[in-house]
Amino acid sequence: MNSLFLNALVWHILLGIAAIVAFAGLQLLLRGKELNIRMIKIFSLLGFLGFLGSWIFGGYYYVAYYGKAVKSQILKSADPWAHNILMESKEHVFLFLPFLAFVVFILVNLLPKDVIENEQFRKSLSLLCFVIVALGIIITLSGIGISGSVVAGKP
Amino acid sequence: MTLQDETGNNKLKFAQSVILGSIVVALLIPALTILAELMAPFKDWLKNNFNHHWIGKGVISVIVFVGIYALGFVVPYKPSLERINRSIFILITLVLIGVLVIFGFFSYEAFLK
Repeated sequence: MNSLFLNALVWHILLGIAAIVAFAGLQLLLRGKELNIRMIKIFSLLGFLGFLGSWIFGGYYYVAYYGKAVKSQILKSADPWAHNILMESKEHVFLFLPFLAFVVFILVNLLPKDVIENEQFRKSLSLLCFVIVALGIIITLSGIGISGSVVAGKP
Repeated sequence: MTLQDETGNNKLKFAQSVILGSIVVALLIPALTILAELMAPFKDWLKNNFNHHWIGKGVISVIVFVGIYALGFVVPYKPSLERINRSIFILITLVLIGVLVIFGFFSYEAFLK
């Protein structure tokens, strides 16, 4: 793997994890007794940009390198399911995340007064953040599984 | 209606339209995924037009999202926070179903087919 692909993979992981942390933090901020709307807006922006960046870097790595160099290695290994199930599911489930992150970003920036005043709205946003974090963790664990299968398959 | 009310309504409508766009995308992603796996000509069309089927699915999702958002903003209706809360719940439900459908489909293809 050359340094371009390595960088793309590293930034895909780092930005994805940063986005997960941002949405976990946002969920905690939404549960606080005194709401800090400025921080809520900043976390939503960081989370959205994180997933957007992770999408672009991961997409580049996946399209330009993974399909040509890694996929065949996994399919020939003892764990072809790592690609057939984990990678196939991961790459498609990931597509949900930038849209969900954008929804949260728009809602907290457009309706900050309602975030403060309406408890039900806050609960809905908090639940949406929880789903984003849960999907992000599942995707991260899938990525670890896929990487593990490549390492295990190497002679 | 005062200017303040109208601005508030437009913000609610903007927010509602963004959620609506995401709801349609939540239905679209599993549909495109399964369709491309079951219909080789469709997957080839995605590859030929977008360089890679995955890029094609992403681009189509973004286009549909923008289209539905614009439609949701133009169509006249009275937006409300209750409606937005309901829409968030629908979005979450559809995303979770979509995730299960995608994972279930690829598990079926890998182990049971």
